[in-house]
Amino acid sequence: MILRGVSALGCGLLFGAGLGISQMSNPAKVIGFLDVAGEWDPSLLFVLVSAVAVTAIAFRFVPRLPRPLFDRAFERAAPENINARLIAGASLFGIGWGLSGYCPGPGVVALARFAPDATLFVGAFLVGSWLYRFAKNQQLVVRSETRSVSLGEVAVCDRVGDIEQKGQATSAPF
Amino acid sequence: MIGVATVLYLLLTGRYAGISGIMRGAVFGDPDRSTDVLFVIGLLLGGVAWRWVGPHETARAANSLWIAAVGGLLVGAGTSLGGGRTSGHGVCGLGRLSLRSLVAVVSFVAAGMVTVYLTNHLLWRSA
Repeated sequence: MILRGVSALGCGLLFGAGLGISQMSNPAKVIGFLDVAGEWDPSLLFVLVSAVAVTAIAFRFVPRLPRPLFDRAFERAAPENINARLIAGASLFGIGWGLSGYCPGPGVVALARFAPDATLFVGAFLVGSWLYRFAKNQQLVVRSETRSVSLGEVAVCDRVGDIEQKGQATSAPF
Repeated sequence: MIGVATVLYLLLTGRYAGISGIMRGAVFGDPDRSTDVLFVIGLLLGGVAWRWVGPHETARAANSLWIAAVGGLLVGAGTSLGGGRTSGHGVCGLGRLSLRSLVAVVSFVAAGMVTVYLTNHLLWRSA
């Protein structure tokens, strides 16, 4: 239990330092990576590729171990559902990423340099997550892993300020 | 380093290091959230350590504050809806050779590029 906690702390530290060094926590750098029409800066691509290169090799072997070193079992990976929900979520994230230049991990790392925009970003990230949870718990959002949500419903969820009841949402004229 | 940290996390604790999920876990709490909380503290310390020893390139905010807030809202809702993002799908998912994650990564990079194109080149000149 203690060893597991220490591991989590150490991995977080390594991860955070990696994000800092690779400049993933620098919004201007991220925007530069996304700005294909301007002065495109592809260097973050190498960050992603090298990280994936490491995991691609290790993930073939590690989950075959009987158990992780400091816990009882490996977490199961998410099922392979490709649906509108996945793409809509990814697209929403992409828009937010393009606007702010932050994703969650780098946002936390940027907190360490007391960046006001990072503080706002992390706060808003939690609010956005909470709103989704709230909507889900109220069953305002169709939550079905097997059925894809229609893009109309997703568009309603997007405007978190005026989430409607599911019945109204599906009949709303999109 | 990011890849190594991800692998170590799986090896040691058996968890996939998806940051958005970890942060939600740390704040909204499952019963056993100590691991999530400690990972987030580690992230913060990593940021501090990097500030301390690392090269100090000037990181600057790309856009105004309210845009960062709107972006955060969208990222929070989007990661909840689609089940994770850059680290989860990008680093862990692609590492597992998951088609689902590839679809997600292509979607969010494309959406990000379109957004930056719109904001930087059409709506207002980049600062």
